[in-house]
Amino acid sequence: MNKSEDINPNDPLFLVSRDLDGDLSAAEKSRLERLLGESAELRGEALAFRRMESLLTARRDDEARIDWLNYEKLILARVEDSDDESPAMEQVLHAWGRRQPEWDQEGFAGEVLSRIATPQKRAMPWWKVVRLGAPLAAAAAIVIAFTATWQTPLPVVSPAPLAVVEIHRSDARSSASAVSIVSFARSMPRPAPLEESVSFGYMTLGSSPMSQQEEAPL
Amino acid sequence: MGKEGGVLNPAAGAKDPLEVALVCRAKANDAQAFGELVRRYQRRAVSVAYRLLGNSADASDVSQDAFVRAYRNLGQLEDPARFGPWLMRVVSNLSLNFRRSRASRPASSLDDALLDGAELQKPGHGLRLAHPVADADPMASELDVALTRAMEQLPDQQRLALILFSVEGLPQKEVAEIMECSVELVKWNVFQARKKLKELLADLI
Repeated sequence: MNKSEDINPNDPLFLVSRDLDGDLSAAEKSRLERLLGESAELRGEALAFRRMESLLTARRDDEARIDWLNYEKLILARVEDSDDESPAMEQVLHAWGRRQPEWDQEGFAGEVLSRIATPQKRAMPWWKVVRLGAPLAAAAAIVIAFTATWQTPLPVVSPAPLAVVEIHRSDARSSASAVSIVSFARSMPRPAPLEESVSFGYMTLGSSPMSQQEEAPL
Repeated sequence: MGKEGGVLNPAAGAKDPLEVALVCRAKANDAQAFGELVRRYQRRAVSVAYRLLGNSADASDVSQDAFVRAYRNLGQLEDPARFGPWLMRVVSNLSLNFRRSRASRPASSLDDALLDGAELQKPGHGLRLAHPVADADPMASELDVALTRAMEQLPDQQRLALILFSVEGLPQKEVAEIMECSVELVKWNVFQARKKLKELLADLI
C-alpha cells in the first residue's frame, strides 16, 4: 500500500496524471507544459494516460443488473429481523443444504429391495466376539478379584484361648458344679491358687487349685 | 458534488438536513428511515461493489450485507452528516475482503465457507467457483476485457482509489474520507494505478 512518504511530487508523470483531473496550479501547469515540450516520450505517456482515463470514465455506463424492486425490501427484512444475527451464515447453511449428492437414483431402490429380499446374517462373527469380549472378560475378572479381596475382612488372628472349659450342669440339689478343663490352647505358667470363689451363674469354682483333667466334686 | 454525482446529497462536507434527520431516526432504530437511506445510496453502493467484484450477484449480496452492517453499527457513526462516506467505506471494505477470500479459496465446501468467516461469505459463494464469471457482455471489446483483467492486477488501494475517483466520479476529498487517507495519497494512488494500467495495456493503447 502506498504511503505518504512514497509520494514524489516532482515525478513528471504525476503532473500528467494530476493535469487530467484539473488539479494543477498555474505554476505547475507551466512547468508541465515545458516538460512536455522537451520530451516526446513524456508526450506519448500523457496521450496514453488520456486514452486510458476515457476508457475508465466510459465504464460508468456499465451498471450492475439488480432487482431494484426487491433490493430495499430484502435489506429491510434483514434489518427488522431481530434474530438475523448472522444472516450470511444462515444463507450459507441454506445453500449448503440445497446441494444434492451425486447418486444412482435408479439403482438405489433396486438395491434396497434386493437386500430386503435376501436376509443377511446379523450375527456377529465369532472372531469379533472374541476380539471384543476377551478384553472385557479379563477386565471384569480383575475388577471382581480386586473387589472381593478388598471387601473380605482378613481373618483376625486372635490369641488362642487360655483354656477350653467344659461345664457340666450341676445337680439341682447341690450348689456346686463340676468344672473340667478340657484343654489348654497354649502353655502357660501354673495358675496361681484361686483365693476366692468366682461364680459364673451355673458353676462355682472351688478355692483349691485344679489340675488338668481334674474334676471338682459336684 | 465535484464530478458527476450519483446521490442526492450535495458535495462531500456539506450537510443535508433531511439526510441528517434520517440518520438520526435510523440510529433510534427507525427501520423506515433507514429504508429511505437505502433508497438514496443503493445505486452508489451497488456500483462500487460491482466495480470491485466484477459481477452483479456478488455486488448485490455484498452491498446488502454492507447496508445491514451499517444499520447495526449506526451507533459508531458520530457525525450523521458523514453517513455517505462512512457507508461507502463499509461497502468498499466488505467488497475488498470478499475479493480476497474469493481469490484465496478454490475449494467449494461448507468448511471452507465457515473458515473464511460468515460475514464474508454469501450464499453459494462457498459453493461456486472461486472466480465467478463476470457479467457477460457480448459487445465488450478486446480493450475492455484487457482493461478489466489489468485492473484485477492492481493493489487493492490503487484499484479502490481509481474506481472511486475515475469510474464513480467521486470528489478526491470524499475518496480520501472513504479510504481514510489524505487527499495527496488519493492522488498518488490514482496516479500509480493509471501508470500500472498503462504498462499492462501498452500494446493496446
